Amino acid sequence: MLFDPPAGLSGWALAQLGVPTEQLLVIYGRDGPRGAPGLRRLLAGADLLWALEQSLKSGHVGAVLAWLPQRLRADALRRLQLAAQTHDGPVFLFREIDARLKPSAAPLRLALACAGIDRLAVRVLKRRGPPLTHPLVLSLAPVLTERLRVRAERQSAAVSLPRDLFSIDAR
Amino acid sequence: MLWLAVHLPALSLESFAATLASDAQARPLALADGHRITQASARAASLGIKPGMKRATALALVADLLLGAADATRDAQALQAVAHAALAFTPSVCVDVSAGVPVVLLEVQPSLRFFGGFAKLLQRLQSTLRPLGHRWQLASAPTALGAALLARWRDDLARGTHSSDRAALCRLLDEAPVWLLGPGRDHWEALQGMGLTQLADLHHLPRSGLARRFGPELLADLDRARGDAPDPREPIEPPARFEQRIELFARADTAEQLLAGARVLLARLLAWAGARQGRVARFTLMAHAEARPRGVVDEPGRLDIALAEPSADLAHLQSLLAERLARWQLPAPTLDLGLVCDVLVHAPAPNAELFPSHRAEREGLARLIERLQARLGPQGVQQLVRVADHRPERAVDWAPVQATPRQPPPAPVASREPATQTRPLWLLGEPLPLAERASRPCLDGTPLRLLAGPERIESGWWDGALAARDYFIASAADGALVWVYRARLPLQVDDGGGWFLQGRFA
Repeated sequence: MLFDPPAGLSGWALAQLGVPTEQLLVIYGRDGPRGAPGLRRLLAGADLLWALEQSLKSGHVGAVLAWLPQRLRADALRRLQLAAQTHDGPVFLFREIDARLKPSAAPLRLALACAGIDRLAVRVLKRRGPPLTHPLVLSLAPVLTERLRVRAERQSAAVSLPRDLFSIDAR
Repeated sequence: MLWLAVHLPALSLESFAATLASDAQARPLALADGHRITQASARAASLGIKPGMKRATALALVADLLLGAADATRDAQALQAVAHAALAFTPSVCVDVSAGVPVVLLEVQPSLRFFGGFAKLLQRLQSTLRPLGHRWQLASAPTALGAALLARWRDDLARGTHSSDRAALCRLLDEAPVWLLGPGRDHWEALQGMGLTQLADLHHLPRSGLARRFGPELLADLDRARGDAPDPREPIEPPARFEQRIELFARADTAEQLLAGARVLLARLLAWAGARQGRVARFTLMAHAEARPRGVVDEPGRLDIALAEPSADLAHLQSLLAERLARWQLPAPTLDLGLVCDVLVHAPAPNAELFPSHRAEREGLARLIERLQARLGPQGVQQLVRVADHRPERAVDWAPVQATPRQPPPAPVASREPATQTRPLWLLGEPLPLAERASRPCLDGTPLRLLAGPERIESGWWDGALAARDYFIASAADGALVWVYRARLPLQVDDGGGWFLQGRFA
């Protein structure tokens, strides 16, 4: 279940990744799905949070990915944390990058950055147990073929600096 | 034969309370007939209001007393709802309003074995009657009129009087006061003057003298109560269509003020549905406005609520109704609230399962989607529909979820997975035009490096949105991969090369 994703989703890509699209439910918040006239409406942030809480409490959804409105209040976050604890599947909240400096009730906090072609650098900001000093580099589903990737990496002159794109709170 | 009688001592007051808004129901209530108080609620009685008091005295005692008038049609509707709730237990249910006191009679002897005994049947009857919000008094006897008399006698007994055979019934009835019988009430002063206060006294007198003095009805009632004369009763039938109206005490301007009345109507709807052995699939709430001058009547505002799966669950329907009412705009201030239901689903309910299974999960998901759509609107929850089109912006369509709980999960299709991903996960709503510098497209001021060769997508000549594009996979400065295209047609001169950003790879 997805709550207010930032852009439209591509059915081809989901099928290529192996995600069954029939079981996907999306709740759009701000802009509505693109390209569909008459569906652009502003959903209040309170409604989105209510829908998220109801879905978590019902226990009938699987994994939940939510892009929440900016500047979430601490008590709203705490309520979501309590609802997510009773939920079976994983719940991921995507927040703005500045939120990594603010405290949060989530048990696991990650900062994602780009680390080259088809690679993702994950910095663990908070977790249960000892902190992790160096970032994890994960390889994503390959987009370029091997030959093209090697050629691209050879062509890159300067070392690319990781730039933070998203900060993830996982719970 | 075992007859169970349900006496509703405060029916008029409770049907009056059903017309009030939820914040007014906490106030003390009383019913007045002309200038005298006829009935007072428990809260009003605790503040000192007694039946027979004058209206002005009562208002002086309690300042925020709400006074209403008894209405026979309103009471009859409430009584009918109780009778429908009782129809779930036995088909022989009749309503007895003799002596002006409403009693619902059930013949339960054939149902005892099904419900597992008399005590269990009483328990289930009480839990069925509880949502209707009435105070009741139960009694049972081998005869119908005997049970009615025992129920009408006292209204403060916790368990009620129960007699299982005629001898016990006659012993109980011997101590009953004479005014319980209808004709006894009419001749009450005369009987009192003669010193006949209990039914035992009547029984010992010569019958011909009694009949000559007070009419044959008194004797006939006594015989029927004791079981000496037959007492055939016609059972009631639930109507084929549920249609009830409540006239609200105060005009409702917003839909939230209708909530209390709508809940009462919903409880009555479920009692009717239970009587007809069906489950509710859809119903319509109608809000009738007051008539405009010159007798012009507006169309009532309608709120249709259709359920994805038919249900008889009061809590679920109430939460759905509350959410929809919160979003409904009343067309005009409402005086009358009506509920209409034509469609009942008679298929048996799916069995509840001890361990949660896949089908139980789907039904729970259908209910969740229903609740979310009730609050967010039907477009709130969307599902992805894949369209066979080469143009990326049209390959995906979004449709509101139709919650269908009965579909089996689709079997996973073993498709040939390509080694690499050819399409980006995120597609922008509108393709973003990119500036061109040194024949390379620029994103955020930095030129992109084109990595994978052109892939031409040219399609859509049949509906006028021809798209002829060369797609490239490019990498930005930090290594993120994006999908850009160069438009070949239609050509615009001032576009700087026609580069557009279509999407980002995960």
